[in-house]
Amino acid sequence: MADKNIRAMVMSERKMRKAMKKMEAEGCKYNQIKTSTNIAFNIILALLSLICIIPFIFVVIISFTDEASLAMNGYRFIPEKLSFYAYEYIISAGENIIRSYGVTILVTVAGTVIGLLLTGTYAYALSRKVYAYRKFFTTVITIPMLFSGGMIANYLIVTKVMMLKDTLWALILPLCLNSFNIIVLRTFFKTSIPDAVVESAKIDGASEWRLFFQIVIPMALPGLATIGLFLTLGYWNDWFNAMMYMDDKSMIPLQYLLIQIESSIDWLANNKATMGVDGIAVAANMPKETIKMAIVVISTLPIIFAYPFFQRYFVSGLTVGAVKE
Amino acid sequence: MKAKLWKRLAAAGAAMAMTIGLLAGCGGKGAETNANGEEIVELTWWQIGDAQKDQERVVEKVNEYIGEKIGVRLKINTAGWGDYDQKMQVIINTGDDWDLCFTCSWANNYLQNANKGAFLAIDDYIKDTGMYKTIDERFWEAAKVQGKTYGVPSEKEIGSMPMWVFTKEYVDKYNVPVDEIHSLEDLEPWLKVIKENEPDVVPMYLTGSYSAPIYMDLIQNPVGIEYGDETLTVKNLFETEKMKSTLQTMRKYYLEGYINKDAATASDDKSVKRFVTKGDGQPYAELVWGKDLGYEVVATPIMETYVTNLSARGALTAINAQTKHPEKAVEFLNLLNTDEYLRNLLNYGIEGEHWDKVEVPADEAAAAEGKPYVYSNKIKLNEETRKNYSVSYWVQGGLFNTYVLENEPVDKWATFKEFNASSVAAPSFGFDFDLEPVSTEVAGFGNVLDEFGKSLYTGSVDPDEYLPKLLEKLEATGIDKVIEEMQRQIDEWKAAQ
Repeated sequence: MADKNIRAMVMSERKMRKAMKKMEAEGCKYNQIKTSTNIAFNIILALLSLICIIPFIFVVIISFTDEASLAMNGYRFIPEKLSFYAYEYIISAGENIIRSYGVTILVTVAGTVIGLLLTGTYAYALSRKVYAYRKFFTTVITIPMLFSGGMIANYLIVTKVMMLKDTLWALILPLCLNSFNIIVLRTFFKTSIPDAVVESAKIDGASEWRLFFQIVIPMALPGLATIGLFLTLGYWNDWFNAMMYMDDKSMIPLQYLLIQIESSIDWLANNKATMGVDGIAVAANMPKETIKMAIVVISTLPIIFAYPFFQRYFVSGLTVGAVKE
Repeated sequence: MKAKLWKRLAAAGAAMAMTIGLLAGCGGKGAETNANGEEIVELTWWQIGDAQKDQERVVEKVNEYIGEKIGVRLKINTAGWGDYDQKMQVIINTGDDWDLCFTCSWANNYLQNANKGAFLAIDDYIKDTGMYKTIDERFWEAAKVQGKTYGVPSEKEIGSMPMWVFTKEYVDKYNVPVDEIHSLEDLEPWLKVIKENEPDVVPMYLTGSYSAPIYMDLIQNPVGIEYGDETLTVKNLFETEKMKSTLQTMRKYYLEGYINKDAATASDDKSVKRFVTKGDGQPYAELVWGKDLGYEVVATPIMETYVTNLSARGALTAINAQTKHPEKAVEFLNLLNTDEYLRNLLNYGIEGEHWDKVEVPADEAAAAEGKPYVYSNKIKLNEETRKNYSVSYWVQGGLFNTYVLENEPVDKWATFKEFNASSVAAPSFGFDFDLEPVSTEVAGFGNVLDEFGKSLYTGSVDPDEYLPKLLEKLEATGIDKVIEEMQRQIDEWKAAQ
């Protein structure tokens, strides 16, 4: 049944490609929209992307603005006076910023690798029809998707049972396995890896490990890349685990550093009356606006570069033509 | 082939195991003893505020001293201002290991934690300590929850002191008799003068966090007991005559253009030139405000200073009910609040590195002679290194054992002591409201106040129209039930006294 579907898909795709080529060659106007509509759509999309990009450009500009002129004029697209002070500060005085940067990178890389390995193997096992405990293990991962143990239970498990407090593992392990990711990947394996491929590899004498690492993984790269991207983003942006499990402030990731600054400033603004004069002294020790923005910039750049890297793998159709019947 | 793959996997496994070891690091130390042969116990202390770069070095220095003196070493953990509440909730609820923690009326709620038994009742431990005698008894009184003491208060200003803060430049220029101005109404003629003569200056600069002068102990905002009301009648703030007339006055000022138009939403913009604004002060607050704004200010109190539970529970240090070392914890807190060297070390950092002693000018010293809490030196903070260790002083302990800064008067703490002595206890001082029976109603107040409070306080909307709306909404949330419940509880409390 499944093979028939695949064959139909392959057939239709081939036909489509042929037709497309023909059309291109002939300069055919079928399936094209009117020029005026085209322009209108382009303008709408350009506006939408501007809405997404402008705030970030603004952040970059603020990070390069002179603090004094910022206080005088407020935020401006073309700053009165440029200054590299924020970045100089981060490089010279911000030891903890740089260390946090290191923590974030280490946790993200290690977490993504470990997470992919665990998610991949779990999902693969569930995707194989011959696996006897498929039902049971599917139920096991579905439960935490619907119910959560809550903050206290999590905290007890991580600190008292696993003894992970103040270790980097506390930042890595809680995030590395996720029911949603497993189900996505299981479905991907199911649909994109034909049983026939698995079967033929078995017939050729491949062990289960070899089958997984050398046959299944290369075929499932787009799916793994998607999950990899999810994991990378999750780790890069995580600050909650650091807040919960890191009492040792020398090992906190960059995002938590930022969140801390933000929430402290918010809190001080809201509690002016209770804090009275004391609040002023606390506020004076907070990083300045430009430094905050500079931290945002340096914490965002790497993740922007991660996108094209994963994009490379989002080429589907690897399996097309793998099975001929 | 198969064997090779297994080897690879085994190698990967071994590498992983090694990394685990690396990341986990090593912990656990054998018991240490000091010169007296006492075993040194470690106390974990949670504080609110941001972690300091030099904290470890300062704590090391502290540990050298207190290890020898009382056989204690400290481990200080911090959680940021915004995170502290949540973090402490988890730590307390999970029975994590900790010995001391910062608590107060506005973060890591003292009353709630004391009620649920998270804190150790320390009455039996503190009776004979030095701190029990030196710290103002009203602080100890405020620290009592249902007759028991659950924390050591940080001695600082006992009441909150709402003040009008004037820019000195204009006060001098127009000869404003600042000392005679107290109520909101007193301001009017001078606001008019500024409005007419200084077009660039906002006569009354207000921001979103402003609240009009409130002559009432807000036990559960907006429900409370008016200052001076010995009959202890629970009222709704917005139904008091005082507040009604205050709101009318604010509206008048707003319409006259005395108040900045964006008052209800603005956050403090230091570049705005202002004549007067409101601040919550303490003695010598002018110095702090002036330094923050970059020009001199003068301030005058709006009303007498009242002592309420909220203000007197401004900062305390509590001990874990489950701690293994209750005696040592109390002993340490006592030392901290009575020992000059330890207090200043923890407060300002290491002498010679973060700060230096400086002389007190002779005439100042002579004038301050005989006053309490006057020290033979002031200190100068090192501008370079102070940012590596700058903690909030009252988080750690009482202020009166600390040296004053170079720009402050040497008798600063004596003035604080006088200020505290002259503060009047609000009639409701000492009463704790158990909001359990009306928690749903109380939860709704916040939204209503957010919706109307700021715009009414700043005069941005007409109170004739919006005050009835606010009252109606509060009624719908069930304010009458809250008033009734509070009245019942406070009558009981009064009868028991």
